[in-house]
Amino acid sequence: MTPPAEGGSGIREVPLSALEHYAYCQRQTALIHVEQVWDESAETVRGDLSHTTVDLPGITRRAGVTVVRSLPVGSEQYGLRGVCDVVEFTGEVATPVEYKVGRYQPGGPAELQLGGQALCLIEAGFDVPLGHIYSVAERRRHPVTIDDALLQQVIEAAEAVRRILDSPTLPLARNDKRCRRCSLRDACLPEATDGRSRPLLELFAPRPLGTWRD
Amino acid sequence: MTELLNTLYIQTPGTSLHLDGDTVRAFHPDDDADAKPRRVPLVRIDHLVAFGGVNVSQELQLRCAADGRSVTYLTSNGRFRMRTVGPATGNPLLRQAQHRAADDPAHRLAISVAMIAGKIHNSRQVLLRTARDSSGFRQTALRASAELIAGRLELLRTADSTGEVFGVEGITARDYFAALPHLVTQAKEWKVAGRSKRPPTDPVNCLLSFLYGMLRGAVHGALEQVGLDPYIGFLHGVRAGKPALALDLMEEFRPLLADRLAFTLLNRRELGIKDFDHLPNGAYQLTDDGRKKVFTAWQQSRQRTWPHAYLGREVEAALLPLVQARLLARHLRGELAAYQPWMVN
Ligand code: SF4
Repeated sequence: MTPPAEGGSGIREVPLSALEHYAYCQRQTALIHVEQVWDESAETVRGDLSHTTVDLPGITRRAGVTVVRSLPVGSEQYGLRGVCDVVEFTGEVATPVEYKVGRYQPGGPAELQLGGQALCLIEAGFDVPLGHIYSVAERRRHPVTIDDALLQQVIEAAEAVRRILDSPTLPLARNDKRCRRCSLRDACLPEATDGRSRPLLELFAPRPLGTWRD
Repeated sequence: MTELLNTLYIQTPGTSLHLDGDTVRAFHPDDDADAKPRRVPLVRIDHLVAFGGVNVSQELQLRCAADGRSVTYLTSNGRFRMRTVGPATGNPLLRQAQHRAADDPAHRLAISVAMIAGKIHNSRQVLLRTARDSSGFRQTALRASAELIAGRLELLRTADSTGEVFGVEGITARDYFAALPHLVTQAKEWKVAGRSKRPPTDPVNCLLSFLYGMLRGAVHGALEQVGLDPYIGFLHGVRAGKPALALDLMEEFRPLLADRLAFTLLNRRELGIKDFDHLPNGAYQLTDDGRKKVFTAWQQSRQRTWPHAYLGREVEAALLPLVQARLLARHLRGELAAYQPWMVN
């Protein structure tokens, strides 16, 4: 996990992975990137992936295509920073490929992350008309068109993430059905942090024998 | 959801642990050369505990640190020696909030009161449950202790310093341990009078001390994982080398996670007198075999769930310290009006 840092331009850099977290839940972004909650499942899965599918950093060339794995990228202009799983270069055209463990969701959070990678590659001088999301579960690539609408979305999301990273308080928990699938649930405690006040415990009244099992 | 992972305990002196791909591999010079190597996948482990004489390779330590797993080193008697963790995690704003709370007498008091109230409540549950399952004099005595302890909650309500909270905690612990002979059915066999610590002069106290050590490790690790400073406490005073916050947070877990397990092991005769060594100075110590039984029981007990009165749901025992450390962190960060201790219901 890469903590946010100041970029050369002086604006606070937003990790590309934070864009994806942001698209899922604002509080999740803050938990991971401000509170530095360690997302065990995500980190473990990432570790597994790098050992099998994406392999170690490296460059391979075949038939006019240069494939670079674990490529660090950044954008001075928009204050972004991150690592692309795989980028395929053909002349002036760059095609990022983002690996995801689960199934592909059209319009899902992964596309925002892919858009962020595209923005960085464009700033580096490449044409990025297309990216791919590789679903490990489905063992196939899904093409994603990189258009102005997506790039605009990325720029706005980066701004919003920066506001979250700079705020001393955390966004409220959603406490909705998304929380049930969220790997940060135990860290987040959405039942207690959704801003709706739950009755606090009565500390001084003796409680009857509970029904806990032995 | 945090996956419930295992703590790997290695206690045979002379064992060395190595990183082998994504697994931990254990080696001992006495191992049968033809036997299959003993391997445990790292993804199944969240914490490694090495007892005296166990060697952990640097490569394995580095991998554990990189993955956010800690490695704890204990003496063969379970005394803490050191712990390795990866780069500091957690939010500096949280640590600042913790230090501010520790400097504010009213805030210290409120958090201490909540923690001890949780402990008293859970202690009473141990007494009431054992009373329900017994009869005659034993039942009467246990109920009387539970009553006595219930009365201490009033003292806690009016406590106006952490010193006073400490006093209430002390009296309550005395009352509770006075009932020890009634909590352990074969108490006569073991000459149990009450709580004796340094050194434990009977097997029951020896077992309690050992389990408290395990619990303390778990709580200490949970605080570190959440980014709280285990050495800056609210109830227990700050002193060099003393994990005051770990000791504070342990209180509410002792009765149900450690004491109850100890009583069950003894009452069901899963541990017997032969599982303890009686030392010349009168102290008792678990034998290697006894320790193995305790580890297994502890590990199993970590898998079960307990009701959580505030969250209104069941929480796995292994996650309780983490959940409470987080409730504390949420409170210190201003998201919760008060610290809510774990109370079983
Ligand atoms: S548990 Fe819910 S509110 Fe909390 S981070 Fe996850 S999705 Fe967001």
